[in-house]
Amino acid sequence: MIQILNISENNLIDNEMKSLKSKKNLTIFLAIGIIFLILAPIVGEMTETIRILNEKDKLVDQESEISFRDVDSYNVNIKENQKITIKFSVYAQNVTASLKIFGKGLFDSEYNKNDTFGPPNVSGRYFLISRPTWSGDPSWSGYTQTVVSCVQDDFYYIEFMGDGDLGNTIWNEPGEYVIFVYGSNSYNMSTEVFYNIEIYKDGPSAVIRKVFSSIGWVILIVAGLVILNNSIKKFRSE
Amino acid sequence: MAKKSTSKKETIEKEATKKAAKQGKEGDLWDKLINMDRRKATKFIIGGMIIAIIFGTIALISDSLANNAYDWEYYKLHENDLGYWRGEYGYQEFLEREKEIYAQADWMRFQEAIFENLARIGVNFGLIFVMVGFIGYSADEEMDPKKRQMSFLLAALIITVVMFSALSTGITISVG
Repeated sequence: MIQILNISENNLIDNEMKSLKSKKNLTIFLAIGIIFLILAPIVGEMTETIRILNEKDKLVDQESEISFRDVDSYNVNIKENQKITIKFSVYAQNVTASLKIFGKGLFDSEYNKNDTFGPPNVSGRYFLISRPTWSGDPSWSGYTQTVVSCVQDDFYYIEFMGDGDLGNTIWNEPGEYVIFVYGSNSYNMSTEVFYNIEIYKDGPSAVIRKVFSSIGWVILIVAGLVILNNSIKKFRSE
Repeated sequence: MAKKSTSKKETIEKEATKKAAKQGKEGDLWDKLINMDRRKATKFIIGGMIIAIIFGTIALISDSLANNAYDWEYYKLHENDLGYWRGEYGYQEFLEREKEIYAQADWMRFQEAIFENLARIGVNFGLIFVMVGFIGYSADEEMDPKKRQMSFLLAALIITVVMFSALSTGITISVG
């Protein structure tokens, strides 16, 4: 009799331990779900853009204005619905630096032809320049160009998606592109052209946001269903 | 031939026992509902009320989100302007964010159609629990006959509310 009582007591303790453990697991599960939901916008915001190039006081010879063989070129790949952002600036005396974007095919063709004064004469793709001014509506200060030239002191905020037109519109054309910089130095004794360039690419923030929030919601829903199931079981057993 | 007939008999017997078991179970359920004790009926009422309150809260939140979608939209659009003016992103990004804000605001207005209907189902489900609880009270022979009548009336009232909210847009009570 005493043995039976002991066994039933042990069973009760075991059951209580089990329920405590399952409660603890559920709490951890719920906490993980909430953490995922909180992290989704934070990690998404952090991966909104990824810097792929940062060059400060980069030097290019003024021969770059004459020949495609002397320009500074950067290859970029644009995927579907992707955009690249370029911060291009010059803070050097007597320097004029220009930036253009070509498709890889056109760039290779011009590189092989190597026409004199090719870089300033051949037209590139359209990109969008932003000059945010607090005095006006955002739509008044965004316009498209095929070239930007920084004369001595200038800063340009450029967005490029593949192509655009004169109507202040750019659109996505996935493919391989070449960003290149050429320039001149108006001082007779110097041929050096210094410029700064930063290139950013759209990051995987949308995918990360979706994956994190989906995992969070799935965990919360599963935990909710488990809690519901447990409470129904408890209700039935009573 | 003999084997076939025996196997047929066996299957018929099995089916009959299954049917009987099923009927027994169903009978048990209805019996349980009618012979419900006061404690269980109270549990049903409390459980049903909790379910109804939870789903009702979901409906209220969904309604509030939809009603405030326009205010949220204006706030986010203004915030987008500020982001552009501060030079945090360019004009193309500004346009993309603007389009996303419009789409999200549209979703905030539309979600009411989904979640409010789901919440209505949940509330009705909870009310059915409450009704079963009151039926349990009315079937309790140990209870005061007046209270039993009142419980039965309340159960009838609840099922009327459930039916009305299922067939029409809902019941509104205006005070004053």
